[in-house]
Amino acid sequence: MSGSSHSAVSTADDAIGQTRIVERPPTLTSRPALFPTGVTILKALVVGRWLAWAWMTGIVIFDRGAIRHPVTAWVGVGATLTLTATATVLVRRRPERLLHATFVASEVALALALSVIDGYVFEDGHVFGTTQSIATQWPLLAMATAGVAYGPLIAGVLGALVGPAEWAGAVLNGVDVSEPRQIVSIVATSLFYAACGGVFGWQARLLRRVEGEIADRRARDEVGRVLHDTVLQTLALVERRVADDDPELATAARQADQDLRAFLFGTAGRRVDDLEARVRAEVERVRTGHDTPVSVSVIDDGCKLGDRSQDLVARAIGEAVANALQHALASRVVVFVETDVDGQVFASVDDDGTGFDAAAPRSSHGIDESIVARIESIGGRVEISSSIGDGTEVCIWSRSR
Amino acid sequence: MSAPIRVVLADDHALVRSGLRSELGERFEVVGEADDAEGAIDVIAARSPDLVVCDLHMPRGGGLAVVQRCATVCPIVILTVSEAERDLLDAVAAGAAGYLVKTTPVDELRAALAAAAAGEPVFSPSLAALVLGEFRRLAKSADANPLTEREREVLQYVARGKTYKEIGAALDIAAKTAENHVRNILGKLHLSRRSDLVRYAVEHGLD
Repeated sequence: MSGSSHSAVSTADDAIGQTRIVERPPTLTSRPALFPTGVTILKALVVGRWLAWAWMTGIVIFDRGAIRHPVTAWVGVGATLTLTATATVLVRRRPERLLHATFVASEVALALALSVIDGYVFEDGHVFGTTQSIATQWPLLAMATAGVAYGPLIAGVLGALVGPAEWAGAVLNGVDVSEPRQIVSIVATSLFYAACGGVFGWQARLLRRVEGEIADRRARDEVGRVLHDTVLQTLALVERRVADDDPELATAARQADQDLRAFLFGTAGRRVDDLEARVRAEVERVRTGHDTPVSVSVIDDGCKLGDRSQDLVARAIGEAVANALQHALASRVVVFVETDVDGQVFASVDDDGTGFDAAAPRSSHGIDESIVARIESIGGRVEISSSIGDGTEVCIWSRSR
Repeated sequence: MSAPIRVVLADDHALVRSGLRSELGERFEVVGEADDAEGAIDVIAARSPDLVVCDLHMPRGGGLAVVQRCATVCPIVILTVSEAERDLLDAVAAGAAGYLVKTTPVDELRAALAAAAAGEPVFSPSLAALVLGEFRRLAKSADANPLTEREREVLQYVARGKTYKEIGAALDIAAKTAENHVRNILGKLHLSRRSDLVRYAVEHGLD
């Protein structure tokens, strides 16, 4: 079936083959990239080929009494020797070539040919008569190669061809192939090798994907390390040095710093709408334009609040931070958020500012409306502790206990 | 004013060192610099400074190696780019006096370094939150050394920005007792992280 398309593209040299991958969807024409375990599998297959070759040679020598066409048998031995030797050289020097259409097609074709001539070289009745055969291992090896190279579907289809090949071998062996017994046997052979091809291909695909993911992760770590060492350091320096002279530049540096960090340290991979992201975004929004350091720590151990409630909590936290920055003359603000075992949220916004008399009417601080109302609307509660000259802490629980 | 605080700076980026040097101001005197961990260990031995400011990631061992070798000699403050860095907790558990994020504003940086030089652990609220989060993570694995309820409480107060004095008042204990709780927590962190590492190694078949 695909023999002609194999040979049509097999002349493509490596570089061309590589560009083709980009231009076309991965088909038989694209040369699959080799993954690390792939090389190990290819090495194992080379060993397998040598064993199969030794077995086959042994049979041709020691079972020669049953062979009626020794020359053909020796041609088969020579062909498999050539293939095995080529694979041995390639696996050391250019392992990716073993997945090239040329090699895969050659091996599959050889395996099918051996299945056919198996019936030709031996005495009549041999195919179903004895267990010795020169062909058995080669289709397996070929399906493994095809699976690694082209995945389960193609390897499965190629595996199904083994049945007809053995059928042809049986005809040459003088077997009456119209007998139901033989037909069942041939169908079973096809199914068996198709399944082998499918399993090999599936496993190879799994391995390829896992290793791809690992490689991606490594690449990202590497990028992270490099950026970390240069870009983040520089941004941090810019941020600190120009904080007073050029607040706009400092803000820009801080934003770039945060974006990059979110990417490098994985916060970018997380849902952008989780509790931590919401709180940080809200704090970042209100602190713009203020020099006061605000430290934000969020321990999110599985927040069970809905989107709206999370938003309201984050908004309330932001409001408390804004209050501290605008009214309290704080020199630092600490935001701490954690979830409890039930997934409910506790948040604290602490400043070291002027504070106020918590017993006095508080409406002038805007806390009641903006914070308490929000939190009570989701069934939570707010506690504010403050005294003049001693800072303020706003504590928020998402549930009124 | 008293004699300046003698500081050793260790960072593999000359730019960061020169930046720090110019920002430290008159209260500090830079008596030595190093651009890798082994260099830092040598300089610290030669100059016996009052304080070491040390990058977490440096060639030949990084901040962790410096802390392991020199934490008993003088306070070491770890400079880090992000609190999310994995080895930060190891350095803290190994005895670093604290850590500062590299974006810390100048005033805060000076204040924190002065406090560290005076022997006060720069146990910032964000570090407390980090440790708290780490213990919650460890609690999910079987044989972790959990915090007592009181320790957890104290640690949460630190994470909320409270001083030892405020914590003492809130929990009706002496400020010194609150500080001791934090010290114990760091000891537990050190042990837990070590057993965590061992367990990880066993589970993953490493030696």
